[in-house]
Amino acid sequence: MKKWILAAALCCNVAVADVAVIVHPSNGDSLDKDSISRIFLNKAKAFPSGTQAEPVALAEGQAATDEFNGKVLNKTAAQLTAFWSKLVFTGKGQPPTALGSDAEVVSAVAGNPGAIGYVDASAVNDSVRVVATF
Amino acid sequence: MKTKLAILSVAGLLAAPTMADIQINGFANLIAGMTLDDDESVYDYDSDFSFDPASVFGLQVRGEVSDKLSATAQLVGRGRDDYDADFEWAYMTYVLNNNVNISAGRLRMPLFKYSASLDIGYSYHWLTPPDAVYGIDFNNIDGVRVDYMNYSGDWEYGAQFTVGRVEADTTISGTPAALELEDVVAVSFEATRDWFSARTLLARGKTSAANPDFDTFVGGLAQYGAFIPTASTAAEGFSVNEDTGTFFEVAVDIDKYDWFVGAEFTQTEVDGSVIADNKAWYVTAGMRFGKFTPHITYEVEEADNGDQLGLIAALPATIATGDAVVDATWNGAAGTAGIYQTAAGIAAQQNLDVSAVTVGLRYDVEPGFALKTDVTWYSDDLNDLNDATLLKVGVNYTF
Repeated sequence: MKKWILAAALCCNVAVADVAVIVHPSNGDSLDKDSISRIFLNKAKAFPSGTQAEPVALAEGQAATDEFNGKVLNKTAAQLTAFWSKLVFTGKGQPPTALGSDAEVVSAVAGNPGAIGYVDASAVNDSVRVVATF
Repeated sequence: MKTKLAILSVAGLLAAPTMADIQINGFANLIAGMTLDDDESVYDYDSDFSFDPASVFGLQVRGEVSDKLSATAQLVGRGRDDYDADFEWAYMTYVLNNNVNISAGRLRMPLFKYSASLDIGYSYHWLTPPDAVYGIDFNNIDGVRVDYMNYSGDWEYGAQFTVGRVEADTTISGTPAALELEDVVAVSFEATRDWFSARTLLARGKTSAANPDFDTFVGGLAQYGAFIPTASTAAEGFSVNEDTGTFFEVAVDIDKYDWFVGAEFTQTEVDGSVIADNKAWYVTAGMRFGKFTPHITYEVEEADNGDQLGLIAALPATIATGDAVVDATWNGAAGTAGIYQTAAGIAAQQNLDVSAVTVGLRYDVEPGFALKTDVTWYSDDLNDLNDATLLKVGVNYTF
């Protein structure tokens, strides 16, 4: 049984890179897909603990970006653009700042107690805490 | 001059890179259209290819004064105004808490489902939203809007409360007139759950509209109150002078991504005025095949001039006071319409019964950039001569 699980995990790691959603190590909140999605779509402004959330996105073209947009936000790139254009031009919100690489997101999240970001699972290190993987 | 000033002030903002948080966004809808028959015209298009009626370019600048306070200005140039740039929005927003924003200044009134992103063609499937519902004379208000947003379980919901005043250009019986809405109060609610969304709005305000021709006509009609008691009533019933206007809207939407359907209904009433009770609605549906979104829409607009015709029915078509000038002014003479005929004509004109079918295709070139084409078959059930077929092609861009 154990072997079988291991095999499954191996297979999936090879097939698709997982996206890790990361926060500052001091952030003790547990977050599910819906609450992560709300933070990244400007619907929730704070973590369950009350700390203001500052989402950090990854630039388009990065592997984890499409994974995250599709799996967590349930939106294609075109849908996401349309979604943000509505909010931007009504003054309701601005899309999260997009950083150019996994490493930049990791260091931005490591340096900001309110930050939340997503990166390729392989890019995670001890300076951040993983709240969920997809 | 206005344009120059606007450009200067935008340039001023652009030239200030030291200011921390300035966001600049823009949009462009370049839309060309023509009717398919020589003698047809609809929605300001005729058989000559034109970019003017619906093309819009805009630039939005937003500066964060502090964590809580931001200032937003939107500079918009419309083809129908010869692209003279105008500050259509200029407001400040204060974030009261995670759920409540307060905005003050000149801002968009949330009258319709697509009001907020009306100028962002990229945000909807049509080239322009259905005219039956969206073809009104104003979309912005000078005032204060409170936005509330929250979620509960799988539901996301929000409410808006808007107060203020509106000044806009309108027409009375086809002649340009100044429209003024005072003491406007509007409340709207919206709720979304996954693929389902619904919203509604109720608004009221004191409505006034006037132009010199219409004032002269109403004044003339009122003077006949001395001879015909019902003429005073008719004059009052025709004038648009601080009359209570009410507006109701409701919209529902189902969007399963692969396909979507939506409908919106509006009802406008301005009691005791020449403006007839108006009802309009549309239903729309479409499918998404990768980058292609074919869609179809049916829209209807009806105005019921029963109140106005009732006022006319209470008037005598001819009078005989013995004073030749007084009688002739009312009764008319060969080749000249008298006040009675003019009033009857204006009342009759307020009737409206039009519908349209639009079939269109959207092609998403890349995020932020879409190509579209729509064909609209417009039908005037009161006068077939106004029927028209309109072809539009266009580009929506946003950054």
